[in-house]
Amino acid sequence: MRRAALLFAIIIASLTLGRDVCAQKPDNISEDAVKAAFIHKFAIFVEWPASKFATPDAPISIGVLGDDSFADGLAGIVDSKIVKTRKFKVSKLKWSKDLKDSRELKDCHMVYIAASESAHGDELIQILKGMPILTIADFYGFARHGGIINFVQEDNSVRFEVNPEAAKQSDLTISSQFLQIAKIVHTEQGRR
Amino acid sequence: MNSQNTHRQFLESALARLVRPVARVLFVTMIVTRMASAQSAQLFPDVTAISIEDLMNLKVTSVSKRAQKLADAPAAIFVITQEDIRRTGARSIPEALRMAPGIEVARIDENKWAIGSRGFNGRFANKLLVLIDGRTVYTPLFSGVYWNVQDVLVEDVERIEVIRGPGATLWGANAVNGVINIITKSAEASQSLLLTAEAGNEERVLGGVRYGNKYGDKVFYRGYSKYSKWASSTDAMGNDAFDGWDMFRGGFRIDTPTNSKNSYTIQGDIYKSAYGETLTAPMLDPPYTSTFRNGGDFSGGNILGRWSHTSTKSTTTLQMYFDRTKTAADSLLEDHQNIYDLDFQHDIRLTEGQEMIWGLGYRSTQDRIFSTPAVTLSPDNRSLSLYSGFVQDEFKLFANQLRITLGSKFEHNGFTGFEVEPNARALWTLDHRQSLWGAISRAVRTPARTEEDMHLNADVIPPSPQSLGLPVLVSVLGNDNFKSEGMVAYELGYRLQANSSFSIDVATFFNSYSNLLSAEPGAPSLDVANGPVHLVAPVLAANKMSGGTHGVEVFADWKFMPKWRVSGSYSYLSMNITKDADSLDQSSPNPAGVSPQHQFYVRTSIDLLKNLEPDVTVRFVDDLSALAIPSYYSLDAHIGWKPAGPMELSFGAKNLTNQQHLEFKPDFINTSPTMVKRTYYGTITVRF
Repeated sequence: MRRAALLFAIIIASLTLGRDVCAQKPDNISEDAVKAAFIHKFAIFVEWPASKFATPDAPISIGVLGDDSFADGLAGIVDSKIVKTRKFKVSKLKWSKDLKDSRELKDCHMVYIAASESAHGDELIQILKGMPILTIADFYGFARHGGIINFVQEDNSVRFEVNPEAAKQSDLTISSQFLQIAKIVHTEQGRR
Repeated sequence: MNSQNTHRQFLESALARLVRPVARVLFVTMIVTRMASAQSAQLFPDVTAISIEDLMNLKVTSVSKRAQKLADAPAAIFVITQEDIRRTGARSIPEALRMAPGIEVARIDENKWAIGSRGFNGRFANKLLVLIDGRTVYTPLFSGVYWNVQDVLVEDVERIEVIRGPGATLWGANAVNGVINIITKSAEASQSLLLTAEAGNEERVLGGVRYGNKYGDKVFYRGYSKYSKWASSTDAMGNDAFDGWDMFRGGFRIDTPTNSKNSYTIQGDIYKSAYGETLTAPMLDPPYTSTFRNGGDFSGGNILGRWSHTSTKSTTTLQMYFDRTKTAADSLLEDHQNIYDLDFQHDIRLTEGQEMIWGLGYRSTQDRIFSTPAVTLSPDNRSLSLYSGFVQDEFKLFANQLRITLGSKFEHNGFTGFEVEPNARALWTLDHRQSLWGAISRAVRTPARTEEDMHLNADVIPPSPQSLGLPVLVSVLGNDNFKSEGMVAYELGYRLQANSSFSIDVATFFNSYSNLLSAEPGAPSLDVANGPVHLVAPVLAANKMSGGTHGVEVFADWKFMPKWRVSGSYSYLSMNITKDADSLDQSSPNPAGVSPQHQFYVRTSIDLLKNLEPDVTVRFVDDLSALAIPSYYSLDAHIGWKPAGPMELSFGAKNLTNQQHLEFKPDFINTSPTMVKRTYYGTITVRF
């Protein structure tokens, strides 16, 4: 009886240890995990115009440009999540000359641009200008050039910069609570 | 019969006693790994339950970036992260390198190391290229590294990339057996005030400060200063070897963000260090050898600037640096070196599936040597120019599943003229978890000043009837016609990222060497003019050794439980290097006896309670038969504690299993090797 109780206790302990990574604040987890969590939260704090969703149960579509393995990981995380009654769908995008005409790109609600595609940042901003798509980039300077959000690394933590004017131009509403914790930037002179 | 029965009964009861706890552990492990594999559909953990404010304050490590980089590289690359350095308590670059597979790290005395890759280790090991932030740190004097000079504030090391195998095409000559690339954090990533202090037994102290801030929004800077002092150890007889040393250094770094169209970085350091040692030098009078306390000092500085321009299809980089080193070893020599280096690189994505990188480089080395009777260089000052160019083309085929890279480096140096180092690499992505890579490369090790111009009085053999009753001075002489050493490497590797918690990396190699350094005896002569009458037995540097080496390096990483990581590496090296048929070399040791055949390293990292980080490491290095150094184990432990607030404490111990051991015996210069002892140390780090 005592042995069984001990075994039971060990199992419970190991199960709770296994659960810990979600309930408690882990230290030193990967950058990608934090970015994926932020992307999920951005969907909570942003509102798209009703016309952007074809049906009431259409999913929030996230396009990941330039990092297929991050897309796989992001999909693993948002697959089970629901935000404002909608599920998520993650698609992998690849840069090409025809991307600007691509239906796949324009049907996204959020586009995440990996650091490897930083050279295409300006072009993407032009392509997606005025469309109700939340553009998020993993390189510095994107928001200042007219994108909506970019991640920055500050002393081993991941933070983000938000350009509220760019969001307004794209017909997206960002919750004021969110804007209060974000770092606000403005589109720089010389860029439209 | 009776004893057999009781024997069986004993076995059975022992087995029974063992089976139950083992079954318990197995059952628990099964459940935990079932949970872990349920999460393995994800490549990284789900932290969405954490509030957005807390997410912003989480400290992250780019482990996934590391995995990505490794998965993409057709080379045997191992990355030592800042977290690895912090958790194992490595306080210097050589200590950090101990965890890399395929790298031999042996401490000679408190201020000298022998570090090599895939064989040919020595204090003056010359087949390993070492860079810090893009600046080459090997000295042209002997094509090796003064390891105690290459000191950085370890808290500001972002990562150390260790590439075994020839990196000649991208990095140039002397990257024959490996490249070690030490990368410090950008100023943007080190924006805070950091104070660190360390003390240990054997009077070892260290203090460092670093401050980083930004100017406006686009310019980030940091400055640092560090002082360290190490007390002496003892020699094999237990006598104080006077090998203590100290170093003071400082530096700065200014960056603009790397992902903007144009980015700049400027960095520089200055340093000053004094050291001691016990030296054994030959004499022409009885007793023909003298062991005494010797000393020396280093000082120098460097400044580097790099500009990078990124556009839609290409990246252009221009780098310039100046490095001045002054090294002085009493009784041996004083060496002043100035290096000016200019490098240009252009990276273009020609089409979707083809990327080309090409570059041009120029390096000017000017030295001034102050000789002593023991070591002379003639000419005593020399100016050498190195012109280099490289081109590398990468093709992606079959929907990016196969990547082929072809490239070559072209160099012209002051000693051997024109050298070509081509290579071909292929990476085959089997699926999103596994990849296979292979490479064939040619690399050369160009001559150093010492091989061409040196006169070293290495040893005096006491008089004997064979020497006509006269002492014999053995002089090692450089050779104007010394050729470059050459090698061709064939490598094959495999990588598996089984799930989010287990990965394994295997690298194998077969290297074929030609024209390796040998020491050929020349005709003896009689010297009546320099001191007591003696015979001179000259030994000339020549290229009459060759052969092959082969081996395998395995690295595995297992996140055994979410808070418990186990990683380990095993390296095997087999060397078959022999003298050529026409070589008369009697003195060079067999290189196979100077490198360990087996090495392994196992480390367990646990995240305990809320803020304790204990790490335990076990290392094994096989014996060095030619140096009569036995194999050894080292058990090291380190624990970090982060109580609330900006402070971090840590305590570590090295060499817990043995009181002391020797790791190497020096070559060419007879410095007494000293014991690596059991040490204890504690660190306090404060970050604001």
